[in-house]
Amino acid sequence: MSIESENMKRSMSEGNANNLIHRLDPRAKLLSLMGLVVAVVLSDPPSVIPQFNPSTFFPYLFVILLLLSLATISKISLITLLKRSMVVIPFSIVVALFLPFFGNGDVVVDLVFGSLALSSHGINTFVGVVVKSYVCVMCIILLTMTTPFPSIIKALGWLRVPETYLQVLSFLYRYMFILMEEVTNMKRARDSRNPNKARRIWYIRTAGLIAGTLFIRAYERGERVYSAMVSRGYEGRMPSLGRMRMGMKDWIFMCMFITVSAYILV
Amino acid sequence: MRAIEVNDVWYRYPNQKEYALKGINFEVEEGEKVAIIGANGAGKSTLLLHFNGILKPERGEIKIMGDSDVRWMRSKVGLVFQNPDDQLFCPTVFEDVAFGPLNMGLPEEEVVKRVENALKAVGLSEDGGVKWSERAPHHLSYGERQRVAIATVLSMGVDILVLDEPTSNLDPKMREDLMELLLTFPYTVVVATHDIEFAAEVCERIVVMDKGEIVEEGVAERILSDMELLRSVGLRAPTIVRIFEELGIDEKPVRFHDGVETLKRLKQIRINQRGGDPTT
Repeated sequence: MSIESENMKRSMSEGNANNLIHRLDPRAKLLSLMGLVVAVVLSDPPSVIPQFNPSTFFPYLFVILLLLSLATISKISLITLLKRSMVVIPFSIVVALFLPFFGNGDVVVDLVFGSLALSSHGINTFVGVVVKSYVCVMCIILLTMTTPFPSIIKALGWLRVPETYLQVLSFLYRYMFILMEEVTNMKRARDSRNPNKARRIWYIRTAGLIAGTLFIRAYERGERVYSAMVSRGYEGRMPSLGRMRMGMKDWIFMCMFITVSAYILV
Repeated sequence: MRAIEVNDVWYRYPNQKEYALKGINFEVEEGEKVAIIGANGAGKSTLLLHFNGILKPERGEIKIMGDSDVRWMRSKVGLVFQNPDDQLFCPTVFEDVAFGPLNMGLPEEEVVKRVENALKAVGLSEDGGVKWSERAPHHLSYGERQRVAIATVLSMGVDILVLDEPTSNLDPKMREDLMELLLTFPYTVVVATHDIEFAAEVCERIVVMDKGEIVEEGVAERILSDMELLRSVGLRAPTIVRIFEELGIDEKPVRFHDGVETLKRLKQIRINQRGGDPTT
């Protein structure tokens, strides 16, 4: 068992603890946190330029505090949650990198005689994208850490998410660790036959070979899994068992999030 | 009643010239435990896939308990694949074991009962406080996954259990546990394997396959002590048989405990011949 896949398994199984947030109906958690994500995305970006206005950051800080307090109730490490949410920041910076050059509003810095300039609106949008993506990812990570993955799938099914998509998602969760183990084994096999430290180009080339082999193995495994499914009566639909019930706690939780979402939007 | 009837079955994989199965004929009686042995590529797994209707013969016919309808075959034959990770595709053990019964359209209470019974039958009872059904298959050990894989077909209420290379990747303890489990099963069992010792311990009848054909079949004692036959199909006789051969003893028990008993008996005969003194 590779260390990477062990770590991942551990992190994804934190949703097995038995406390108030974990016990909530997955649909309530999914709807509440998704609603909050939509509200955060649609809210006005914070104002950094021309004048720094701290009050425009308050809604985001409020959401972060709310999520951290839920994490505390769920006995989830706050540092883990904050650190894990940071993963998105490099990606959002890359995606939003050119926004400061395209916004309207006052020109803050003129780089090439008026043809390339940083605008105040662009910079505010850039900061908004980074902050919003951080908060949204935090919502999703909190959801995955407090809800077992099969329950999330079930809740998505209740929300009428297409069955094929859910089946793919479910298989991804089931086989991700196995594929990760296969990659680790192949990397070990490669390194064990490389007594002299090879050049970077060699690693890049062999990474391509590993990716190709992994694809073929995954395809063949897919065929075998399909045979196993057919042999147990699969005819295109995944059967499911057990109904979910929304209780008073779930409704209170949802009302709380609707209020917070409305506050952010307003 | 015959559990499985295979009549002149020929099969060729798509885009292949060579037949993977060439005129296979054999029967399995109800309650019998049969091993299909042969080297890699002999056609064992291909034959097993026919019992469940996953592959259909190009020529010939397969009947399961007198019927060749695919739905019937699938409701009667439980196929356990070589790698439990191919068999267990659901996020939790419960969903995996319930998959078959739910596809059969059984009511919820019945499904829950079947899952409990199937897990109990493979030694994963929840009485001990371990919530096996809530665990994710990838959190289980290989041996536990193998047991859950068997439970997934037992929950369907099958009459025939078909296992493809069940001992590959199992450590000696897990292998022994699986052996004991199969010996207690009241089902018709067909095992494809090249683990000769396992076949000897679990099955009373052996079918030998080579290059898509059945070359010999008969009781385990006769087939597994025929070193020449096994060598000709790329297999080796059980260790206990080879020990007896090396010692020049005519008797060749194929099971470990039978071998030990025979050696004890021979020793006693020798002691008696020497006047009852074990030191001489």
